[in-house]
Amino acid sequence: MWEVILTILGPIVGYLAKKLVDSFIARDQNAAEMDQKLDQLRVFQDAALEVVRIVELELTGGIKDSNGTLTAGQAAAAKHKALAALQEKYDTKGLLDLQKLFNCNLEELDKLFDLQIEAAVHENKTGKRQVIEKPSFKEDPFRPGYLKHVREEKRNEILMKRLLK
Amino acid sequence: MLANLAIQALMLLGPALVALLSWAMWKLSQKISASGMNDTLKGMLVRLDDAVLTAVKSVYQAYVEPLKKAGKFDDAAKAEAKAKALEAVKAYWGDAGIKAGMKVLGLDGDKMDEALAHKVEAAVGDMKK
Repeated sequence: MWEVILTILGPIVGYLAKKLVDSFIARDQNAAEMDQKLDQLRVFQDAALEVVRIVELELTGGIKDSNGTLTAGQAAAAKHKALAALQEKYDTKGLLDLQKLFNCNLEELDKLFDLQIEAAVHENKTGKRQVIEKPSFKEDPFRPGYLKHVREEKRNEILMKRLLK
Repeated sequence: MLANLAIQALMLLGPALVALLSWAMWKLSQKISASGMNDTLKGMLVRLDDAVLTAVKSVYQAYVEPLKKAGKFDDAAKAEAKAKALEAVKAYWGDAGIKAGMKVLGLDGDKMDEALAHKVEAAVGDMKK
């Protein structure tokens, strides 16, 4: 009797046990990947702010002190210097990692360097630092069982509310 | 006698216990998968917030501020600034990122654009505070 039961149910239990272990591994990998991406993003933003501060100390600060404002040419030169300094912080592997992080090619990455420098200049000017924080969720439409009872529209509505919050 | 009964009961309940164990493992596996999906959603939302804020700051610094100083920041310029911010957010996420975001957030193309536009407006509002 037991032999028959084990022969039938054994492979099923084995398959489910493997699926369970795989789920644990996939979840841990996913969480680690998310953390790594957010860390990479934080490092990128910190690096941009750092180079902007250095350029201000070494170049633009002095000009601003002497005559109060930058000409368009001086601003462009300062930006160029900050961009070059930021790019110098990344070797080939670092650039590839950033491409993976932003899902883009090298040309598009240049544009993102540009965007990040402009954002860092704004942060430096206003003193408002952008901090990446993980949000908390009280209502979770991905909780097991939740989706069974909630229509797709309801799920989208909840997500939209969160997006617009 | 009692031992025989216990063995009989175990033989009868055995398959049920194994089935119960299988069901428990299956449900736990589902729960873990959902938890992983939730982490992905959290990560997406954090990245989205970050991308929007960075884009808005960048567009303000490079486009809006010079126009404001020149007194030329009219309605057309506002619309242009918003379009530039949206474009910057999309650049920050990349095509693959946008597609993944749409999938995870359950939004189609138009709704995604609408959500991004609202996020940009909200970020502008936050920046003014």
